[in-house]
Amino acid sequence: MRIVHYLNQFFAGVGGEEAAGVPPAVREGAVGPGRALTALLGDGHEIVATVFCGDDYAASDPSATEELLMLVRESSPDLLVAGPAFTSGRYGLACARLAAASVRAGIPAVVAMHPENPGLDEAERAPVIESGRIGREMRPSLERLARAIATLAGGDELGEQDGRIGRAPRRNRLAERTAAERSVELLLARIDGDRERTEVPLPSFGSVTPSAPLEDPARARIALLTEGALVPMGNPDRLESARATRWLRYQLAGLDRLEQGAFQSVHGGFSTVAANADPHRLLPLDVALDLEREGRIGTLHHEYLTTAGNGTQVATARRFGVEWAAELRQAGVQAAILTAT
Amino acid sequence: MPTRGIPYPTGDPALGAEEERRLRRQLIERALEALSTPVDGPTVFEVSAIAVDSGADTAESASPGSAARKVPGP
Amino acid sequence: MSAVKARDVERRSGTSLRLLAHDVAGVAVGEETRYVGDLLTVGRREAMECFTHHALAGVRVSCCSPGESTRIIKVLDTVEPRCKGGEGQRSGADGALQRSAGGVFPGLLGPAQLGGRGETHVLRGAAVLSAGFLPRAQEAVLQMSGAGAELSPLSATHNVVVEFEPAPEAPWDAVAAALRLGVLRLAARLAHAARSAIPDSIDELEPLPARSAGLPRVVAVTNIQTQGAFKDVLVYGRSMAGSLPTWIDPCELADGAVVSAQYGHPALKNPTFVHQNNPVVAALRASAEVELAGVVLCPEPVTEHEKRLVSEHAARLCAAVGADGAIVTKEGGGNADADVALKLDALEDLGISAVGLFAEMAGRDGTGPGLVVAPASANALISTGNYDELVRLDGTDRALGGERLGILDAAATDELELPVAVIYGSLNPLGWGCVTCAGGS
Repeated sequence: MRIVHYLNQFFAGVGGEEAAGVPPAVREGAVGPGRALTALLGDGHEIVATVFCGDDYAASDPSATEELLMLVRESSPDLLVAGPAFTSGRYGLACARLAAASVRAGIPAVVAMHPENPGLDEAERAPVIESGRIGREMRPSLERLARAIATLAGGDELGEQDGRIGRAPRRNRLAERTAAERSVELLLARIDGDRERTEVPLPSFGSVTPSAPLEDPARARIALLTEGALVPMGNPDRLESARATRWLRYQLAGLDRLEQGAFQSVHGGFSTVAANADPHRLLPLDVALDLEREGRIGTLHHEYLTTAGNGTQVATARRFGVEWAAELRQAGVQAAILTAT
Repeated sequence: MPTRGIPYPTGDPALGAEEERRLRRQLIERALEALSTPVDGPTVFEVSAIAVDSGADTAESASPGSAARKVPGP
Repeated sequence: MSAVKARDVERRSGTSLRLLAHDVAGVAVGEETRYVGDLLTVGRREAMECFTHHALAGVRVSCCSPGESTRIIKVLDTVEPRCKGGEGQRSGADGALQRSAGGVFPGLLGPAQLGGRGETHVLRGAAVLSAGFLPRAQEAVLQMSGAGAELSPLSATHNVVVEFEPAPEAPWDAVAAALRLGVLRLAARLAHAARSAIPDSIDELEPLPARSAGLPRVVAVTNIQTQGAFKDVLVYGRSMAGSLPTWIDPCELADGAVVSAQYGHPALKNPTFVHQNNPVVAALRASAEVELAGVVLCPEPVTEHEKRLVSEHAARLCAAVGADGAIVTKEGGGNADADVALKLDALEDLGISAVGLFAEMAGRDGTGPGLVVAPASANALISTGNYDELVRLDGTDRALGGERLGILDAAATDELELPVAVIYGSLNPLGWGCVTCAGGS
């Protein structure tokens, strides 16, 4: 098979965090872990090109996936392989989105990442194979990925036995017993102490490792964020009021305060009367500026980020989190205050 | 940080303008404290807020502005 | 016998109901209503009389049976033909306790008198369906043969289908009410034709057991929709909107204490037929390993604080009847998931093991998150299938309920591809059917 491999800037050997803004690019043949993968795959499979991109660029630039897909198509591969991304959130998102777009465009794809990677929910129909947690587990992760690629090459679908993780598509089928009968069996099992059995596995919300505290807010750049859907009057960018799929950034530079009538909340989940009468009830710009003037806050970031947190799917919210983190890091922000409605 | 209500996380329309701004400042000062505090998991930072008429918040404000409560993990 | 002693008799025996089942293997429209052998004939004139009402200009009654090349569209409700037996009177075990057994569908066909005792005749294998346009009703499709028929339990019954013409200028709620009453009346009249026949089987619904040490006690927690006109369910003829949950005896359900007036969510509604035959109650009665502790009926309110109140109250009711476990079901999609999720958590908080039945809304390709609101700590869930998955239905020779299917702008007899959500009764939230959903290839 002709394979195109996707890597982030780190595994492509371009650089670390300082190179996280590198735009999409392509190299001929296998690079870094791609070489080890080629050896594991053996004859009959070739990595014809390696596409890569900086983590921040891939996670925060809206056209990144499209640009990467164009580079993938140039090599007319039989398969796209992305990762392993381990637990790296931005890298995992990029892998998953590119693989999803690739499958949609008719190019089969497979991704490798750890089950806790936030990219997992974005792979859509592209299969995801479990990898280790960190780069040190590269070898066993590549071995499993190579076996999965061989299975795909044989024309078979990947399943749990191949280390497939994430949401395998759920299909309707007829059970032998009615749902009511099955519910009695399940209840008896639960009363007997089986606390895990279920027909509908619930999403695991995972956990986030907190970052180190600020040494001193007076020397930090701090941003204001809200999921209260605060936007300029008239909602010029048409933020959705529920099930938002997007977030937006707006200027605060030059403003002393948020005037009534200049901003509005388009959130569909609560009465916005109070927030519209005084937008500071959603975004505390006035007192944040006071604290900046008094030297308690080093610099107040000149933009705020906003979305509507209303009926949002967990996967979408997780994506927003990763994208906001990338956006703020690129802007040199060390801390943020997020108001929640 | 728990605040007064869903539709106004950094305000409270029941307060007068000046008092509301003081509440907001208190919230953001507390947020800066939270940002500078080491945590190793979900942690609630209570705010001993300016009392509204009922004084409902005052019962737990024995140690004003300093109570941080670790949330038990899953 | 003193009043105190009479009460003791009842307390000991509880409510019991004898279901006299008459099998139906064929149905036709004819001159007179008759049940002979296992064939049911629906008397045309008698059927029409059930629908004499100023809000209805007329009705048409037809029949269809399993395997026929027929599709019914715009199905509104389905009722199992039942009527009371005996003389409407019944003697207690010692002959002292005399009490009327009332009629079926109390509060609608007769006074709202407590049901669930005495004898009830059932035409097993038959159903009366209403079909046609009502506002706020979502079009429900029932396929009697070919691909798609296997999805609904009602493709396996001999169906008497009532189509209707509203009277000019009649308000829609009056049309719906007249139609509902007519269908209940017709169902009772049809069952009446079997009253003198020897039943094919007798099902003794024994009184609920008092608490014993041995088996786990389980309550069926049945949520019903309460969202106003055309989206409501009647209990003894009244809406439960604004009520707290209530405990009722499953025998009351068998006599038609709960009647659907809910025409949304074709796949996710609970037709009257399903309340008469509450599948969770039936499964609990059939299990030798549990002790049925009754039914807790709950409204599905529209605000979160009411949902919480109702959920916590329902859990407390379960605790009060000594429940060790509960099975929670819903009606409708979207926010009705919260009514199940909150109850599961509230029950588990009180130490009562809980299982919830959910239909999933996982998108056409089955990769979306299935539940709108998932429980926080409870996790024992049964799937009644993915609502969004597409199914193909064979074209049919005949259609009832209308000429055209509005959602696809297609002729009612066309070959169709549509989400399973449109198939009447297919993902029944009370666990009636066998459709489920699973991941993996």
